[in-house]
Amino acid sequence: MEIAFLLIPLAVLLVFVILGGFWWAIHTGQFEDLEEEGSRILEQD
Amino acid sequence: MVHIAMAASQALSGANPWQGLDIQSEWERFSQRDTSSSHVWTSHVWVDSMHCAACSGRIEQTIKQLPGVLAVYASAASKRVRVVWDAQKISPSQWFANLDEIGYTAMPVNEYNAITNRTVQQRKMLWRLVVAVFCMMQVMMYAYPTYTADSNDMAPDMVQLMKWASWVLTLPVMLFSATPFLSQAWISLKQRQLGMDVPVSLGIITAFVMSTLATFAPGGWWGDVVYYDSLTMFVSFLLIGRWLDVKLRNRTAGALENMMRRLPHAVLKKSETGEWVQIAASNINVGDILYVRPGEIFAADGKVIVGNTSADESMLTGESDPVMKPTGAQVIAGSGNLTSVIEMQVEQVGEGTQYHALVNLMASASTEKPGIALLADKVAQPFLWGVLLAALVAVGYWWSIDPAKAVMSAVAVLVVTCPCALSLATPAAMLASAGTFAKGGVLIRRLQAIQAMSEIDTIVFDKTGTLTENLQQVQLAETHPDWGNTLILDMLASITRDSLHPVAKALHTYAVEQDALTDLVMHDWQEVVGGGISATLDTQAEAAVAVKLGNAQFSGVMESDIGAERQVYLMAGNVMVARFTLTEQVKPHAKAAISQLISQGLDIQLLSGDRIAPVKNLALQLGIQSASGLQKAEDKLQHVMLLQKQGRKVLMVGDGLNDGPVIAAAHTSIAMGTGVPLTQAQADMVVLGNDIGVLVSLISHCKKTILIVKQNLLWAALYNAAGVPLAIMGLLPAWLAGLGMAASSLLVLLNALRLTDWNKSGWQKGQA
Repeated sequence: MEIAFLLIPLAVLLVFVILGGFWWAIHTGQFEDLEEEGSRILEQD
Repeated sequence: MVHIAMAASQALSGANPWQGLDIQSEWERFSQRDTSSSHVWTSHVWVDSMHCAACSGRIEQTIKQLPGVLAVYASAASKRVRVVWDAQKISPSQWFANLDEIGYTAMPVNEYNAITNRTVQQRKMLWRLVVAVFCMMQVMMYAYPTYTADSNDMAPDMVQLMKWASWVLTLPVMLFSATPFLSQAWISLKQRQLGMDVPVSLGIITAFVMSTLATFAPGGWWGDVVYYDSLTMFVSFLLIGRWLDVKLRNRTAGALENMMRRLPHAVLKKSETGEWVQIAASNINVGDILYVRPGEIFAADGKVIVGNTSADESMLTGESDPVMKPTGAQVIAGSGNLTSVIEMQVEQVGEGTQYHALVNLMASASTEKPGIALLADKVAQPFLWGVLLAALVAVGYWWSIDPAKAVMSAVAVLVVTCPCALSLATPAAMLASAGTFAKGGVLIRRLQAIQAMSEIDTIVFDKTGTLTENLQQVQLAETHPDWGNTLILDMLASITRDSLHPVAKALHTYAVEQDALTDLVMHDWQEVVGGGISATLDTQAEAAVAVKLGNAQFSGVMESDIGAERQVYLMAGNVMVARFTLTEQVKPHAKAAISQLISQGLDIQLLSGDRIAPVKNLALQLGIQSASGLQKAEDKLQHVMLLQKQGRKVLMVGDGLNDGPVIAAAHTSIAMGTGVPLTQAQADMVVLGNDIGVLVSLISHCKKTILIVKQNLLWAALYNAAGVPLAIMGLLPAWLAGLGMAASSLLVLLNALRLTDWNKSGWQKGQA
């Protein structure tokens, strides 16, 4: 069980890394328009 | 039409179509002045056809080469381009034209700031939510073993490590995610106005302080229980509610802006030399002649002067059928030109257009608080004091028995009574209905009207334009044998040419349809109110005939047929040349709708300014028991007030113009009809389009709305009534209270969403 003493701090760090990813996604507008992106492939340029 | 189109394109090829943007007041609308230099501007434009990174790269490269352009940032994701330029070296029209050349048409983004603010706000709320949810999930993981494992299974070191980890993960939730609640509570405390956020913040802070003490200094009177899981979960649920709220509000604001954006930014105007030049839509003046191609949106209200087309007015009327627009017809800003090229003369611009009135109407309705919501605000204060008292009782009761439990149950009381559901109950339902009505062509001026509409027991109808069409059917009933039909029609068409009276208009249209001449020479033309028209006409056969057109009394003849139809006599001297009858057409669904309303137990009455015979006749046709004619505005007002003295709740349905005072006095009111100038309409609701049947489904949907509001309020009350005692007794852990609170808010929202389904003509099914 000693490994948990390493894993728990690592997991906490990982949360912050993942949150960093979300920060990027939200602030570049990845969640702004969820419908249009899917249908764009059907449009002609 | 072809030559017009060609002329236009020739005129266009020479001039820069974006010249209209080169005035500073124009570019200020989509640009901001640089803080460091007074002639450097940052402009935002919208390029709809920019889909990929390659497009944005091409745009950036092309515009950057222009002298005077300092920087270009194009974003394919938002379809926006930001251009920094020097007003001393370049004008906006130059880089707009440059974009045109490489195949990208740009549009100025006028409301850029508003959109940016909303986007930033929504992103921030989502970011708060994501932080809270992620940390919550992690905290749950560390809380789980302490709930399930035997106390001997886990080393104390391990338990302590998990507490520390949870504390680290709770910090961002406390310091970042929960700040909207905390700061709002602080503001309301400073203003000495107890708001909904005060007990929420109290709960969060209490839980956090207790847990922190338990983590870093275990063994005190605060015990060693931590509430990180309850706390993060609670904040997450609250944020879900907030985020949905922000999203919903932004969508409404976005919908309004989309409506505004519908109007074109640039139009083709006929210049003094007869050429077509492109000008900015904000520079259109009354009297201008504009060139509108199929597929374009009319930029102003006006009249078609060259060409025939059809228009899509569904946005304004809710009717999806195209409307024919022959020469002379009125077109409305915001509606679409469908079939062919026309020229129009502008009669109303900007704020004066029906379209603007519509947008303003929607905007004002969405900020109004209905009476029932005001009630919720009123109970909020005593409610909160009650909550604080209950929390104190819980602490007092448990303090001597188990201090840790005291904290826990106080937190639970504060959480379980979170008045989210209570404050969401009414506005959610009302706004859902108002939005649905707007889509179906019914505009609500005041949200109170929904409540009032659900209470009515009497409906008073106006006749003309409400139950009957404004257009009247004309028949030539009788002619003098010495006078030819052609001459009669020529006289009729000429004498009615300049009158605005609806009867004269109907007669004029009738005559013109039969190719009558409208240009007989007239002298001494005179219109007598309530009588008719008199003039001296020069006909081909005879000069200076004294002609009269009007009712029997005015024409000096005996009423020949006292029926439902209106009789109009054309006199030449003392000889009756012709008699016309005008029949009003009952609106298509009027009969079915009225009988449906009567079967619902509503008392239907008809009040009209028209003569008694046609009013009685119409009442008979439609099955209305109580009808009176010859009612002036004061008579109508007295009648309605009398009804109200008897304790009745009266809905007044009229054209919304002539009935101003009656409409103000009635419990609630609806203005009907396509011809209603919205700016002047006084009614609580405006039904666009011509379908009287909408009334039936409108009333039943209003009733349904109020029912759902009551369900919501009942649910919120029941939930509190059950939750508070349980929490005081310590039977409700804080996390369960948080879950219940979130679930009750969600339930209220979902219940309100049922109102977005409105079947406008569903009532007819039972009829067939």
